[in-house]
Amino acid sequence: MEIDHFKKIFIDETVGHLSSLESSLVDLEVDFNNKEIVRQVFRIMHTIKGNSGMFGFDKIVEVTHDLENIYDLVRASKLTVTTELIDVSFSTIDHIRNLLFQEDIDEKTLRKQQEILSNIESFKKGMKLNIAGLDESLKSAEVAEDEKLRTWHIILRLDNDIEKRAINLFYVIQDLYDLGKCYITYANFEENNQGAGIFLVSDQSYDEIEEVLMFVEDYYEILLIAEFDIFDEDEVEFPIFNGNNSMSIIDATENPDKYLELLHKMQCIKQQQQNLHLSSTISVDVEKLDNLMFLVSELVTVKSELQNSLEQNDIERSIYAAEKIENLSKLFNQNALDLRLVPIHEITEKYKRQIRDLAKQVEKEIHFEVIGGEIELDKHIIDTLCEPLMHLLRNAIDHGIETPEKREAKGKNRVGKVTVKASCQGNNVFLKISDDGNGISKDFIFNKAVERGIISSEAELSDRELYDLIFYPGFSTVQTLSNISGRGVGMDVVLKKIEEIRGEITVESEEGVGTTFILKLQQTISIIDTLLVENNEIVYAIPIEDIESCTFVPVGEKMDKERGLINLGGTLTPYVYIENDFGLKANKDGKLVVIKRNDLRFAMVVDRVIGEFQAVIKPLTGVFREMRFLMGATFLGDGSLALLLDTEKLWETSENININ
Amino acid sequence: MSKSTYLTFHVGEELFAVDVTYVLEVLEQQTISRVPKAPEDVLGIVNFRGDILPVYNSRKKFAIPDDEIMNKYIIVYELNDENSRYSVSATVDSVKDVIEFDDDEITDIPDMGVSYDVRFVRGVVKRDDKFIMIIDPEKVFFKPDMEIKQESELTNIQS
Repeated sequence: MEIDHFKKIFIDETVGHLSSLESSLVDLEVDFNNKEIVRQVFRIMHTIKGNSGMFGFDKIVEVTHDLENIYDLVRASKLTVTTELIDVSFSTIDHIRNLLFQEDIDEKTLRKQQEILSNIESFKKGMKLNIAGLDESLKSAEVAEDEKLRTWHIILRLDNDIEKRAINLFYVIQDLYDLGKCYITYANFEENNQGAGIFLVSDQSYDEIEEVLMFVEDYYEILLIAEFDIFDEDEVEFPIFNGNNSMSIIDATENPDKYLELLHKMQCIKQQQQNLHLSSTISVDVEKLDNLMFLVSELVTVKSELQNSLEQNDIERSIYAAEKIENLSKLFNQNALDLRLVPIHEITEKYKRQIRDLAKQVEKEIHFEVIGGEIELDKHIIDTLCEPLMHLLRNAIDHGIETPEKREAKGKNRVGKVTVKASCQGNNVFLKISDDGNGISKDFIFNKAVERGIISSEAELSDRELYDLIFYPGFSTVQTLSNISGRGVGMDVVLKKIEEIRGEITVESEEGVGTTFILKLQQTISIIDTLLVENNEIVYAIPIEDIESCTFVPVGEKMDKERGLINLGGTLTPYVYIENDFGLKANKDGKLVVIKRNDLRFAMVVDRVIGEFQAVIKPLTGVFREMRFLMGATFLGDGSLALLLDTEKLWETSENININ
Repeated sequence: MSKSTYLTFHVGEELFAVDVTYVLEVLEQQTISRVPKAPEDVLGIVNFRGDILPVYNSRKKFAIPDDEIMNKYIIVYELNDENSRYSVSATVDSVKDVIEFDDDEITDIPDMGVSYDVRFVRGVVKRDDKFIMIIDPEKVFFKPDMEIKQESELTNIQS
């Protein structure tokens, strides 16, 4: 158990080392003669080699040893860096990653090991290398994914009902045998109580297995046990079905030991995989941990203080201690949020390698730069952002940046520039993803939107409105779908992901000069400052940063009930009542909360303003998911609930109602 | 024959039963917070062990005349859909008993002017001259998966 734990840490760490190695190699590829980077590469490899040795990853030791030697020679100026060396290094990294997660090394990996070793060897001797092109290696990776054997556990349980449909389980199982190797753990073909448990080792996908089981729909269960053949190199003897009726089976009741052994093994494998892949770890600055320890010690002190004062019935001191605890809980809260913060370069470092490969694939030259990578965001936000951000970068490289020839013809630098720039403003983090490519053609978007029937051909749109059209579901601005971007996920999914974390996205573009996507994000989303208001016995929480001011509802001619406008210091402002229907209602006394969010400004009439409140957001699920004007709910001190409003969505909702 | 254990409860005059494996807890006297614009059969939300659950009005679900005062108890269900577990809750007038039924005691619904959605009912058990309706909570409180559907439709268009 202990050793498994350390092994997991080792794997986590090594994955981290490999990422920084990749990032250094990308830098080295731009600057072959940079000795500092070479030293860095050497150091990281040395660490990986050392750690791998401790945990018995001999194959990793073998390749890193040889490659490390090369970099040692480079360091000593006996060899020079070439593109070939970088390529070999990258393929070694992929290989090491593969080795890390393979309990038993398969033949393919062994061949790869040999290939890499011989490549390194030939490089040392200055010979020509046998490097498979990038495209090819990408392709073979895909094929390998398809051909990979997986182990499935299939449980079939038929009841009397299905018997009427004249289904014989026997034939279903026979079909399963066509998919791969089957190991039957128990089977019963008696008329009233048919059932079977089968391990299937197959390269087929879930869907294909499901297809075979089509006729016994609702009566089966398919579980993925392992991403490999669990029976491989193993002595567990199970009879293999040979296609005729004389099938020998292991009956769970007759041979319980073997069955249990198998189940146990299956569970072990499952758990191992979970340990390796599913847990998400976070590396934390030691300072933050010290701070946490300090808070804990404070808490212990205050706790005994409180206990003591209560025993002596000293009310005054108890109240004092309670106040201290309140302050401490705020600090704990802050600390917990701090612990969750992760610097942005954690993801952008990973992009470096992907961008390098991508650029090679589309034959473009790209310089990728990250500014402000040290700025931190909540782990959850970073994780959610990973995919949409990569999508934007892919778009920039695939569609934004022109080919080197075209760029030169336009008088631009051959090398296209893609930048991610992070900056902080209050509780907001801004991410700017920009490229100096071709920009987005306004005419093209306009025509396409008309063609799709999204807008009329007479529509007059501001630049922002026009660019926002690209987030419309199914709106693709690319004429030819390339195999990199433009398939599957569109910009609308990017928008959705970003809205999920309460972010906003805008586009700026100039034709021929480039495009910039600006993401406005919250640093943390789990706790926000709100104002509590009450209306019709429902308590609402409104994010404080959306609120401009609170005033009384004005009387007389300042309120235009017909058009739903209020005169606020000379500006006509639309207003809504948050009643059950969100529509307009007759005037009544109350307070006015003026909302301002970006270009949106409106007022809300409520019965009562309660006060400020730090809300811990709890998500609403199920039926409420469609009600987009609710961001969630939060517990109030007395255990009751307040609804957290999304002001922008609230306005959209009330607008729709007014129109209807 | 196999037996299962059921929780029985009253909604209006009708007696219902649900397999106890679906039931997490029965709450009493819980404050339900109303939610504006919620669907008709949803009374609001409730705080259950730090999570927020929707509260359905069983009277609306089973087409029994609404009577707010009688919605006294809340049954918290834990249900499964294809890939996840989810919890919902629903009000009932009173919780009666925990009983065992043989599987073969459960019969199809007699065809006699049933006023509610028959898909919700798995079968009927007759006890002491009374019919007990066995509900299938996964069908009654089906989790809407609109969002997922929309996304997959979209992928189809683009690819």
